[in-house]
Amino acid sequence: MKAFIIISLIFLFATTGSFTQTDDIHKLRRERMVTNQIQLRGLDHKQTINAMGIVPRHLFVPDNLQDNAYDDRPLPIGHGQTISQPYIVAYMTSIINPKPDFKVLEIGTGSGYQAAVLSEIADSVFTMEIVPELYQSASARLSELGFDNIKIKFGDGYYGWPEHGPYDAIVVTAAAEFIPPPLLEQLKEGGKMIIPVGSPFMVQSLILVNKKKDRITTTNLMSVRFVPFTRQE
Amino acid sequence: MRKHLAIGLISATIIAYQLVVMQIFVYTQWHHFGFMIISVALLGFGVAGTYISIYSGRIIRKANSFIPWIIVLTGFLMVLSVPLSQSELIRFDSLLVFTNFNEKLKLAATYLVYFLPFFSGALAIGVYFIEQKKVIGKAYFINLFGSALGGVLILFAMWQFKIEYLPYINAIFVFIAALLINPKYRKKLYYSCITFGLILSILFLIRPIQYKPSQFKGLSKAIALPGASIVEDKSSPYGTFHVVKSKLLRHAPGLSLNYHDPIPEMQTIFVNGNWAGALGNYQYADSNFYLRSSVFELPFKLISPERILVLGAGEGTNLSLAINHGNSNVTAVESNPFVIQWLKKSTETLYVSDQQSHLEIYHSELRSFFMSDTTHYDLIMSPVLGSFGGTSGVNAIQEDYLLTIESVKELWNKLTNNGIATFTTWIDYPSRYPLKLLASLIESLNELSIANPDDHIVAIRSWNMITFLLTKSSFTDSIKVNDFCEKMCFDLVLLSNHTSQTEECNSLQDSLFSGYLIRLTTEQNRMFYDSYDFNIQPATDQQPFFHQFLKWGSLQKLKKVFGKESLPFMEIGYYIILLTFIQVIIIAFTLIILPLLLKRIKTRDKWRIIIYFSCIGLGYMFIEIVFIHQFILYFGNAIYATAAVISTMLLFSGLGSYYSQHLIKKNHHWLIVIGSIAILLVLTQLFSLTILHQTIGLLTAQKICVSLIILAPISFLMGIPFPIGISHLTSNPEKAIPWAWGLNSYFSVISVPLATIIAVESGYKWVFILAATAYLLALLSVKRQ
Repeated sequence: MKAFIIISLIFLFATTGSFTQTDDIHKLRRERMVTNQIQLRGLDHKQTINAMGIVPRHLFVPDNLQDNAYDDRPLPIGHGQTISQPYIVAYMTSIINPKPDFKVLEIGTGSGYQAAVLSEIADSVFTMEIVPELYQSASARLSELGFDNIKIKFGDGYYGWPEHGPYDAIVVTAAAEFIPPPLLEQLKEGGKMIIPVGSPFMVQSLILVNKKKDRITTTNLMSVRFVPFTRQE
Repeated sequence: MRKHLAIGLISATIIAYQLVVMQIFVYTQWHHFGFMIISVALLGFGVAGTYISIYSGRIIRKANSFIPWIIVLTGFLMVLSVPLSQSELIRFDSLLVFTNFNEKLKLAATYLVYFLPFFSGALAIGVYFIEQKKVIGKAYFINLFGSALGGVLILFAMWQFKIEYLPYINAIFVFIAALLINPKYRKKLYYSCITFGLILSILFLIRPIQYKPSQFKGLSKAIALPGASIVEDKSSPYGTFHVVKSKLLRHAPGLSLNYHDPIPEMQTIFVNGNWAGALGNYQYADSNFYLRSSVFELPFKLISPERILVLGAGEGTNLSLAINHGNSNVTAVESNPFVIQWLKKSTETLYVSDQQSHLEIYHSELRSFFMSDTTHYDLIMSPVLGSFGGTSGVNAIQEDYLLTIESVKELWNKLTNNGIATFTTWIDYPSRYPLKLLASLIESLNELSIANPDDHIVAIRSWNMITFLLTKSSFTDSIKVNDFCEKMCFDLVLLSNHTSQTEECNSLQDSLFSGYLIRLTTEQNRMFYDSYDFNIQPATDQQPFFHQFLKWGSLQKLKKVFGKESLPFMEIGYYIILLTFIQVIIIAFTLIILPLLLKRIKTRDKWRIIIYFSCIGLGYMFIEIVFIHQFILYFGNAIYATAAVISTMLLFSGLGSYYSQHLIKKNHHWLIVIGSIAILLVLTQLFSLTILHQTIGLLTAQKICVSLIILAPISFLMGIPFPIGISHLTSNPEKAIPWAWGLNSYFSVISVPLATIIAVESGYKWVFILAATAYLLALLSVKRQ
């Protein structure tokens, strides 16, 4: 009996210790991610850097990929979707320049990570997901982690979420070969919309949509600023 | 006789199995994985040859019992390979292979699962060859004839049965082959095994395994949408065909940001699991039609076309718009027969008999259609290039004869005096598709000796698409184009003597893209091809790889820019071919050549044997690949061209092999044959393309006769060197036959990816020249007696 209690206590301490250790490791990895992948690439948007340093990305990826959560790459989350590369999430967040009073709409919740990062800066985030399994898992995760200012809805992103519009910013993380007219309508005057363009594992550019005096314009932002792609002649 | 029949049958089932597995991979993964299966099949043959060579003594002694049992084993391996490869345990996803170690292990397991049936089937054939060493020409004929028959029959089967059933139907024929042979011992057990195998095959036929396409393919994503349903599910030699219905699917490429009305929902077509078009969106003469607010509308703002040719009509956008404008006679061409059926069904009620306009729908490969068609058109609309977000190079090694310089020149000649041809592409980053497209248009006009080519090209851009117009008469009037752009919030990016005064609607972070376009219209364009980090040199009929952009010399830079992990996703198709090639060289060398070298087989003229059988292996496959490439354009159908070439070559090579027995004792006759092959190859290369181009308008039956005239003589001759080489060059046939077979297979294995790499880098002409050189080397390696 004594032996059983001792073994149980050792096991209890060991596992508690390992939890603390694991959390520390993830925190360290997150700090490194922010320094090496975001700040070293020249991104200096303070609120974004702060948010990226807070949100536990490893809790937004499948269990078997937790050790890779802070790698400089996108990761699969199932159903043909990915969680974007940390730098892309940070870049998209910084481009829309969210403020504490912002109301942001996200189309394509996926893992919920982008919404979580936005929620650390903005007042409220409304996010929509069309794949039922992703909606359920993201919904449970965001509520469990206490992201109270995120509202999630299961539905077709084409129509947006007019009940809460207009929005200061809209982030379209799902592939969008065209911009749905209802989303443009739900964007505030002076608001910004951002759309990543690329294959599932490689965002190659970002489209920033501006709405000023009812005129819609776009700017193609290169996610990688190493142009030109010509050799020295 | 029964054994000959059984070997013929097993030869047929092996090639049928290879084609079925290729189809499965093209559906579940992507096109380039088909190449992996060819290599795995040939590797199975090569390793079998080596194995027999090493253990020949033991195998020959027991050949009578070995052949039937190994055929039974092949049947079981074929039945089980597909369910195993589709099981959660080893089913891999090609896009995850580069990011996940487990996926690499699964890929290796898949290799093994598909290698084993080829290996065991080839063992049966190899042992049979040794048994029949005195009549090796006849044995080789039976093998080749069986393979040819298998290649043709499986195409018919692909029309009759869905791809899920074919592996098991094929396995039933393997067990029938086993039934044809009586083993000497353990007959009860033998027939019990066959019965069990047949029952197992039938059970799988009753409840076949459903293949799942990669989760990253369009079909997987579409059917994951709530309420989505598959309304049509068919398969054929063209691959799988699905129509998905969902209230959430919409398609509006190149749409203006100023369009405010709803975008209609539509049914979507998927071919081999990839998005191929949108249906049910055809509205006759409706001025509020949403696509009138897209970049595709531009030509209709400039002319009122009476005759419109829509190429690749199944994609939907161009055809919808052409129909919508009414008052035109529209000719729609589509290569997939199932898509044709749906197009006809969707459009049958649009046109009424008293209308002036009408729609004609043709089933043909696009280039082949206008090569044989004599009509001139006011507007020719080419299919949309690339895809939203880029293609990641998945089509890199897919030939595209529509986008070669020769093709653009032919299109130009089909235009009426004021005619326009349109080419629309998705914008990618770093820019590849728009630049290569413009380079192709400019080079084509240069070759046509058109003065000031840039007077004939107009381009406008939305936020994610660019449309190029190629105008038959010079076009400098910018007013209509400007008005349209201003109204739709598009940007005019190319128009001779025009400088934009208005602020861009869709700007780029830097102005390099416009600069690149302008450089391509100047005389410095070729310098630009060299300096750009991607291959944007226009494609030609000899190098018809428009979608291949990778430059090996730029890899380091791209790695630095995008990171090591992202690199494979830049141009994944060509990357996989290179990886396949390297893997195949290493694995095949380790499993085929090394054991043979270590075994120290005693035979005279070892090096002559190595050179001779290597060269004829390499030469044969190179020729086959070049012919397939030439006949795809001729027949207008890749599947039938491949089947026709492979089957004709195997059949006539088999006959040549059979005839070779008459030449065995005549050394000089044999040398004349090999020399003739090299000469005939050069003559074929000089004249075949001209003959094929001149006769492309003939009926299919007539074309088959022409192809027989070209293919039969050379194939007949190419069947002679292997069996005759065995008789002349080897003093110890038991050892040397499998060894020669192994060498021959090794070079056949590596020749598949190698020929593709040579064709992409230097063109098919060089593949042909190297094939002729290989036969000449084989000739030189023969000792004169």
